[in-house]
Amino acid sequence: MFLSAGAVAQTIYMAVRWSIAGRAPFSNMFESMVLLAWAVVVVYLALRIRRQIPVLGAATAALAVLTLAYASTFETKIQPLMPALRSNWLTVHVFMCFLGYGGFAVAALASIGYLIAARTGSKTRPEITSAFDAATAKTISFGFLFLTAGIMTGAVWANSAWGTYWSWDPKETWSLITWFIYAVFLHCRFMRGWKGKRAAWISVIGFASVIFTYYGVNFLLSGLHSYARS
Amino acid sequence: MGQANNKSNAPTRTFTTLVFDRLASVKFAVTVVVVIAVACITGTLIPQGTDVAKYIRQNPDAASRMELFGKLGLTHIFYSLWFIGLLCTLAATVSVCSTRRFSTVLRTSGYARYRAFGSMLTHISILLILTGGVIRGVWGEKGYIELREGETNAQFVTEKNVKLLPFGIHLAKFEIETYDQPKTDTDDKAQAKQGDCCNALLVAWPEKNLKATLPVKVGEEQGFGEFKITILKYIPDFIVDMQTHEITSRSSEPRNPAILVAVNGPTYQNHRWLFAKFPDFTMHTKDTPATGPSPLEMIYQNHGVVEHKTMPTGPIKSFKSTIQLVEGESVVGERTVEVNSPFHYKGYTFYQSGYNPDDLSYTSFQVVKDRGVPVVYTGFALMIAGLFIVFYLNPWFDARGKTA
Repeated sequence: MFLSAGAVAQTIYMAVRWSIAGRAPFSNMFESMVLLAWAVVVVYLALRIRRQIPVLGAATAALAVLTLAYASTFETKIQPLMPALRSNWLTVHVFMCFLGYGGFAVAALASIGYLIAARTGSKTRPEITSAFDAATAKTISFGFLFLTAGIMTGAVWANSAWGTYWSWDPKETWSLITWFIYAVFLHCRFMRGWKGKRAAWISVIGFASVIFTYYGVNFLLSGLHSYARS
Repeated sequence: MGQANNKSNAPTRTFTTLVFDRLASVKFAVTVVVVIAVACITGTLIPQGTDVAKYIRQNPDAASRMELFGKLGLTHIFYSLWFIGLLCTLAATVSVCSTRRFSTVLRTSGYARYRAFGSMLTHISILLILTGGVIRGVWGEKGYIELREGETNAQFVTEKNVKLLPFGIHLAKFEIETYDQPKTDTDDKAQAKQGDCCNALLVAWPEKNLKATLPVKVGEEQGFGEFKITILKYIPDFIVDMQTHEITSRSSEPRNPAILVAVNGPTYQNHRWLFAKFPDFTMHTKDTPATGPSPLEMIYQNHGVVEHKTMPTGPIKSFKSTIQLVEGESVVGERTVEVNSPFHYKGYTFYQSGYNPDDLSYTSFQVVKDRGVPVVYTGFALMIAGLFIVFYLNPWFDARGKTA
């Protein structure tokens, strides 16, 4: 209930900011972190996993609050866009990627939940661990579809702005690495039947890659996406 | 004879089967993906290509380390043969997996056959994307073209050499738009920074005893009696290229300043070049001959003010060029190119890529010829469709089947 109210409030905030700025509010660290917090909550709510694992809702809410708190440390002023960022493809690209990231974030929370439940001996309630496991697969499938769409719309945007759809820029390359990790997860899961700890660890590693793709690359590696530091 | 043939073919068949079995295994495919991912990580941690020199300039101590990486082929990972080999291996394993899956699917019937469709589509899309990349790598062209306003060029510079376009590109206008200063018509047309005292067009109509000093504002129509006078172009250092017969500027300094003036009146129309240093000399353009003797006397004055566009203040919103396509002697079209809005012509795509803040009459374009783009985009569409089918459509049909 509170989570839904928070998501609605944040949706209104983003819509107002969009209206004032005259563009989608997805173009700097502050705006993208607000979008990430929103995506995490919306994906959790949309995938209808709250009834099976109520504790995942609390973890999702905590992650969203932490993300918003960290977002507030960045410049919050609406800034004009540089020419290359003035594209509808950018809006779609960022939105898709962050829905994907939201899915992977919830998956990582579910995987951590699984690992904790497995370690603390929830064998007496196997339905909890299997619910965590199922939630991991469900959210990763969702995240993978949207990350794929995000990478592809990003490639189309790059081709219209810079004349190349793929330039092995660090951000692009790390997106591909993340995509590979989750592709491995999906193949191991659906072709080899991997479940439990092994699947949970791949999910956690995948989300570490998401964090590095989103955050680490901006600050540690230079490239076409270096504008995203501000 | 037949037995001998069978014996000699047996090891080959075994080896082929072995290779195909290996390529078809999920374990092998996952291993290839992991190796590619490790190579990608390495490629983002070690500076690549042109970044190497910049990195060494910033970190002189790293020179020997970078030299070692260079010798190991780690400074050009993404274009190295071994990395391309890995991508080819990925393509091979995806192809074999897809082929085997396809042959298995063909043996099934009903819903099982349709259920595999999404997975097939996804894997075929990977092959299409890689094929598009190969088309770009083998047949693609990429380079840069730099133009000054008023210049025409039909060559672009690639990493290795200079290539010829099958048509010419003429830069008619380059403009920068900022956020702080909303663009007005006057801003758009006032291309030159000058004062009336130092840079002006003196016009006289002896018959009517009319005289005026008009400011030199490129593109702005100014009235003079019943005439409309427009300065179409300003060239700071006028020269005619003897080979191409194109009018161009040798430099941005006003060593031989000239303006192209259009005169339009009820009885007289003409385009002519006026020269500040040669007031007695005028040059009529070929395509707009004078309609009789000129009733107007015009003198272009330029007293050494370096005329250039000024860099606008405020964050840059957009920069764009108006370019004309030239085939033979004639202009066959005019297009506007700006960031995120390239233009395509005869297989080539032109991207607005840069400008020189010290001389805003210059701009650069990236020129790309890549027939692989539609193939890659088809791959993108198929992959999204395939994943959607696998993750959502198939489970939906499964659930419907269970409830039915």
